[in-house]
Amino acid sequence: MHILVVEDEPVIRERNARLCKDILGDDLTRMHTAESLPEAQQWLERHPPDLLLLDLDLAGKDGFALLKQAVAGAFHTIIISANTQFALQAFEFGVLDFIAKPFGKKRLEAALSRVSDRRRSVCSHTKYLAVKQGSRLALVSLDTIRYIQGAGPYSELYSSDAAPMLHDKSLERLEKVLPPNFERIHKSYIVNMNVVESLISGRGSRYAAVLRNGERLPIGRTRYKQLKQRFDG
Amino acid sequence: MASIRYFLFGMALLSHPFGYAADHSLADLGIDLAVPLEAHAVAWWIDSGWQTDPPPATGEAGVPHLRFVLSTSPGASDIQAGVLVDPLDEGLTLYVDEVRIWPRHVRGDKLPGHRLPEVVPFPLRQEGSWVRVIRDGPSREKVRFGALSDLFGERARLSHWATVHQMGLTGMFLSFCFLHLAMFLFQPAARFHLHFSLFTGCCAALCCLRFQHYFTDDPLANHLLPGLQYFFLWGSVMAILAFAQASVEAERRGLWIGCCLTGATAVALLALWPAEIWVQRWGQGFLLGCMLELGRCGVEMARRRHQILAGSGWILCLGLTLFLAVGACDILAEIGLFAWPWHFAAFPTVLYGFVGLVLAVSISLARSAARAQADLSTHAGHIDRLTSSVERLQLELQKKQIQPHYLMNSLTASMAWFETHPEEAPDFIEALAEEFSLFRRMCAKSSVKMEDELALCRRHLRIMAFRRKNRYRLDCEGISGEESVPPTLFHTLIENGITHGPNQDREVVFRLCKIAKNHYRFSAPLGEGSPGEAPTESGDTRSEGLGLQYIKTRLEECYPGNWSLISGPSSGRWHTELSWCEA
Repeated sequence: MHILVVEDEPVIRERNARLCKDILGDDLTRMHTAESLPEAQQWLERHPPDLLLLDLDLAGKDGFALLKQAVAGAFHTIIISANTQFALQAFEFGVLDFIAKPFGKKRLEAALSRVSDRRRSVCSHTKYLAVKQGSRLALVSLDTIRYIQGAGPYSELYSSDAAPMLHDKSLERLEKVLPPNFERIHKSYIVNMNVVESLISGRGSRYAAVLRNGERLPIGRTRYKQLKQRFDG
Repeated sequence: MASIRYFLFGMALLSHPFGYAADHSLADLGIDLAVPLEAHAVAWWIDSGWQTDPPPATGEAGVPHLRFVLSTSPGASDIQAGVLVDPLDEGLTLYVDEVRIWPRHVRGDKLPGHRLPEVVPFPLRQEGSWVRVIRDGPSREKVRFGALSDLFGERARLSHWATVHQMGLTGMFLSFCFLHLAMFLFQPAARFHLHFSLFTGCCAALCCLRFQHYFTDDPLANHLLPGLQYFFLWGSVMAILAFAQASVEAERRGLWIGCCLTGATAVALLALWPAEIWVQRWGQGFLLGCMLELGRCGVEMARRRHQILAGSGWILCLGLTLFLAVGACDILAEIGLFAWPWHFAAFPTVLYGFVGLVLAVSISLARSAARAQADLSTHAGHIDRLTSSVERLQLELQKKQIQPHYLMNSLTASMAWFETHPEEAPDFIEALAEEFSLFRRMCAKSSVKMEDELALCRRHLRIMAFRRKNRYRLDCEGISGEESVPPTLFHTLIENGITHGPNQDREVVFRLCKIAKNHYRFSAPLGEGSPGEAPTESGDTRSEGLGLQYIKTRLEECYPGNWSLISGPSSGRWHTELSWCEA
């Protein structure tokens, strides 16, 4: 795993790096630390990590600017901050976890385990997905998204009020930060259950979800039973 | 110069500007012929000779006499004629065929007390020509000839209107008096309402006395009133002028000196002449003086119209204009140059102008009070906002110190120290505890000793040295430690300097220099990528951090309007210059 630690206080920065090394051991393939926003941004552009450990208050500067950029990236973001009042806001942007300072090794270990854990979060508060559009970032409300289709290492967002948008995160990574109303129905699709009108079963074990606008999305055979239970329940 | 001007004005008030005209006609003398008598008068002429035959024993040089012959037609003896005269018009003497019919008393006797016009029967014994001689008096009251029935009717009418006038004036002044008394009771801090209430109360009392003077023989009213009346008018006009001057923020010292000089002179004059003579001779001068000075004041106010129009001065201007206009008409009518239909000397209409002026002052006072109240509310709101702002900033500062960003980062750093350098970690915890202890002691104070402030700064630097792995130092020049400064002022500057300064493994030196009393210069090294801005003066509206806001609010709280803060980068350092003046 490639980790970038962004923290302005050297003692804490070194501790974060040391703890990550202790926890991940050989799984840690690369570790870099940055003390300022510009330095972190440069590194993210040149060497996109798998995980960003970010402090929100960097030498008096607002780390949210970097956060918006980070959550639009392909990697996961974990916030390590003393400003707990920003936790909810950070979750709304789609961070994987928020570690409040001061923290022990076990807390960091739990957060890091979520990166490699294939299970999705059961209490995600994400409300927006940040999407890179040229040189700017667009925040797309999850309420407007009908479904997300996998596109290799990326994902395509289909929303009700805009053309399909490409997100840098893979479907697997997005699944981890999406709230429970987004259900993985197929290896290539995550659907917003709030817009599903019905589930249909066709010939030859072919299943589909019918959306309110009439679109039909395929449902994986192994997922249909669980989905049917949820839909009926 | 202003004192001399006001003294001259005062003297003008107390002097008589009029001489006697060299020539007179019936109209000049205010002789009014009633129609019924005219119907029986077949011939009129004015004898231009100034001597009566025989000349009156009391004739004085310069006092005109008018002799004329009234011829009556047959049946005239049936007419009961007479003359309506002012009983207090001492100068008027009326002869019919060399027999004095007015005044009835012998010169030197006590004058009748009341001022209600008297009807003197006019003997018309038989058909023929009768020589009438009138010696004019200085008061120039009108003398009216006519049938007795008409004259008694006129006397009743005058009596009625005198009652209406005097009661109306008294009522108006009493209304002002009670109104401002009520305003004072509702707003005890506004003492000018009480003063104005007393002033209008005195006006009402004088009107009552005048009323008494007109209808009764009350010696107190008759002998005290003239002096009181004119002194009071003189004083009140000067007071209103002072108020008018104050409303345009003119220099008032000259006015007060002029008042004192005039007052002293008036007292001296009063000691030399009896009050009734003094008043009769100088009463008109008083009015003219008022008119002149008010006119001058009006011009002054017109020059400052922009200033006046912005406030309530225009109302006062309106009142002064009304007073001037009515007063001018009254004086012109008094000297016979102008036909002023409402003029009758016993009821000078200038008094109504004076009521208008008092009304204007009353409205101005009420508006000024309302504005002062609004200003007070605004000011109180500003103070409340400032106070709440300071409280909020104190709270923010405390929160900043004991809550997430500072405390939590410090605790996280201490965990790191315990994990890596366990032998040094207790020092770090100790420094943290000392800083919190000092901070808690100082935070609620409005000023602290510089030595306490510096102690707090050094504790903070010790902690930040652990956290930032920098070597921090605070160099002071010219600081004795006994100075009194707002709490956490330099601590906040150091905090800002650390946040925006060099990050690791550096020698970081902060400098605090005392330039003069209550004038300090603080400088901190700039970190990489710090903004290089031009120096900014206090009052800059650009967004600024909480620390700088706190410093400005603290300074404003301690030294309202008497502080300055200039900060900006220069030669790789961030300089902050603070100064304030103690009240």
